[in-house]
Amino acid sequence: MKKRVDKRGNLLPETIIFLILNLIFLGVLIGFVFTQGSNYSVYEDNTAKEIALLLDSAKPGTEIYFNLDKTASIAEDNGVDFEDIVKKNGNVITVKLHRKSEGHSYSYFNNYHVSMFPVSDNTDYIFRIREIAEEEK
Amino acid sequence: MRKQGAKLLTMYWFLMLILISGGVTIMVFLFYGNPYDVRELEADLLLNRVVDCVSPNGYVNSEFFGEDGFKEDVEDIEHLCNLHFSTEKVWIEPQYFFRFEIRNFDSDEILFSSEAGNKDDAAFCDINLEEDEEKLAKCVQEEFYSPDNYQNKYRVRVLSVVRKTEKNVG
Repeated sequence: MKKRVDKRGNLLPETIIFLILNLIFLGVLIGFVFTQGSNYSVYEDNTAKEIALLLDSAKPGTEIYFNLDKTASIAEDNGVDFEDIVKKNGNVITVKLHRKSEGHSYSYFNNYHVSMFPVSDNTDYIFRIREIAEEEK
Repeated sequence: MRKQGAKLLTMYWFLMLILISGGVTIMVFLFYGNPYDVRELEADLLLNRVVDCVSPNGYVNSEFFGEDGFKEDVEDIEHLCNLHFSTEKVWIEPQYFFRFEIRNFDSDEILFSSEAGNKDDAAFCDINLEEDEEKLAKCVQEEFYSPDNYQNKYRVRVLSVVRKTEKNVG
């Protein structure tokens, strides 16, 4: 009788420790996958490409409201102001989400006049596309 | 004997954990380590832009016609089609190319053709249009029918090419 109690008494803590260790392992693994998924570098690259493709497909007279909700929160965590996330130099779009990063750039081939500015509620950027006046060409 | 068996089981368990975590780590780095390849989408968009330029409103662009038929060539086709092929500083050469040919509908004879961008990128298009080689430039080709304002019929073949390999392939 005494032996059985001992057996049970040993088995339970072992199983619990085993389960806890497994859960910790699983947690670390899931945490690692999520950290990699929300890496600012991936977001920089994707956002720059997304904006460039949108501008490539746009025709004069188009106004694009581009939502940067998730991207803005990453930038805020990494010390970048909302106004500094997207920059345009000629026909190259650069997205920067970390103060130490140089950002990711992607060019578009559309030769229209693109003006861009952040909306005051810090979630959207507006892109306005219009025909380049003949004298500007 | 039981203790030895338990030890053996623990070793197997650790081996499994190492294998699983190693596998997940490799998969994560492979997935997030490679940039998204958007070149095919870009080549499609470029092709659409060229099609709009060659055949605006469904008729062959009147800029291609001279007094008697098609012109020899059109100056600065890139500018005429509202395209701008300068790219990021990492590249010296343009990363885009397009060519279009306007052919006689019945005889398939080329009546007018024009191109812009970096022609070298199009050199491997014959391979890449058949099998998808990700390290090569992406090529998209389409052919469509378009009349001119006098209802003459033409076949228009457009090829668009986007290189930008360094930014789209890991």
